[in-house]
Amino acid sequence: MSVLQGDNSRCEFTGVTFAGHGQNLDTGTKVVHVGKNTSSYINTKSISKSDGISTFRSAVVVGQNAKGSKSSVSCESLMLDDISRSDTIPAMDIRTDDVDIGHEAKIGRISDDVVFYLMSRGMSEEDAKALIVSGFADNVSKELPLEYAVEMNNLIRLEMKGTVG
Amino acid sequence: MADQILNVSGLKVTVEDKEILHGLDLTLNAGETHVIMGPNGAGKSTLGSTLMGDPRYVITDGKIIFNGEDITGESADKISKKGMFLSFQNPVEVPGITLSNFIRSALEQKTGKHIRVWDFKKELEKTMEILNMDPSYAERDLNVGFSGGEKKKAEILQLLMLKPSLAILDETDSGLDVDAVRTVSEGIEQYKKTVGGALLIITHSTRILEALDVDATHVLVDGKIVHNGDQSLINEINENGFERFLN
Ligand SMILES: Nc1ncnc2c1ncn2[C@@H]1O[C@H](COP(=O)(O)OP(=O)(O)O)[C@@H](O)[C@H]1O
Ligand SMILES: [Mg+2]
Repeated sequence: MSVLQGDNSRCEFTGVTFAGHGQNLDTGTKVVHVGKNTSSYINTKSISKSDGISTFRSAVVVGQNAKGSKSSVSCESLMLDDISRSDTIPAMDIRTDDVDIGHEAKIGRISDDVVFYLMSRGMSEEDAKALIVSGFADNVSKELPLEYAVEMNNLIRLEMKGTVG
Repeated sequence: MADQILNVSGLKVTVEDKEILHGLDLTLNAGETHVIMGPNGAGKSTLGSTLMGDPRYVITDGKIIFNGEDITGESADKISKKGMFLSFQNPVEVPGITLSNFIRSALEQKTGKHIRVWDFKKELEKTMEILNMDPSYAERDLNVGFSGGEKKKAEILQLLMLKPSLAILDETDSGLDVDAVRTVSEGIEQYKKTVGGALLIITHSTRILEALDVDATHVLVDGKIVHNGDQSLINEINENGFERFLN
């Protein structure tokens, strides 16, 4: 949880989750805007496969003195098959009207068109899907330090192994 | 018949339980250029996707022989490695990999060899110049935010870099302005000259064909090849339409 106490303070929350078989990744964050002109950015990507469940909860509270504040929440999910699940649960408590609040949630599936396109250039189905998943998380991984970004892509590759059968 | 590159016989294809191709026959010899014309919805793109191994197009009957090997029901990545290439009517956007890295990894997959970055970059730059592509596109994510024309050029760029023995071009010229069509045609000519592979061109227009010697023209109507002819058939169709081939 972040409390934006001072005027003009800001915070960012960035997250990537990968829920595999038997997992229920229930994560979230909370931001409280107290000072004036404060801003918060929440940006998450969740990936679920097999019977994995990704749940992301966000709570944004804007107090009555936090005039001119801004909050943007964007949650995107990618489901790799028909039995995976993804839920986004936003909560907002806004007590002033001079604010700019944005919330966006998108849920998508791996596109057969993209898989076929990549395979038509010689990529295996497994590599094609791993590339699509990395690409999905890309604008988040770009914010990570290089070593973490490399590690994340390795993890995605590892998670994607054996998904094709 | 050793130099037959493609032999399709009695091909029946179903999409979502609906039969689209109803027994199609087609033969191409190595290095030949064939044109396929036909009204919208006739099954031209279906043929291209099926040959390339799109699993959504289910082959219920018939056979596809490519380079002397039966590839009926084979997966797209294997067919690609055997030397077939499809230039898509609507190329998709793929965030997370640059155009340059994508082509290099495709080449490495195909040849099974490591490719030196320096040599690769030089060839890529040279080829992009032929296609009037700004070099900055090489470092942009594959097709992401490219205009329609740039996407089609990126397809021809891949054709020139991957050097397949058979290239299927699905309406590569549709929706392009005059200059872009000329550039794309030059790219195709370059492919003919330097690679010498066979071409199966699906098109509605003659502009893209002007600099090519066409060996045969096929008319595809309602999931079947209904007529075969030579280069002159293209102009005839452009003047009179498909009227005489219907029913
Ligand atoms: N993926 C698909 N799903 C459902 N129907 C399809 C699909 N692809 C093609 N079709 C159908 O097959 C027929 C032929 O389409 P297509 O091969 O795209 O024609 P053309 O390229 O000659 O215009 C059309 O009726 C089209 O609606
Ligand atoms: Mg088509």
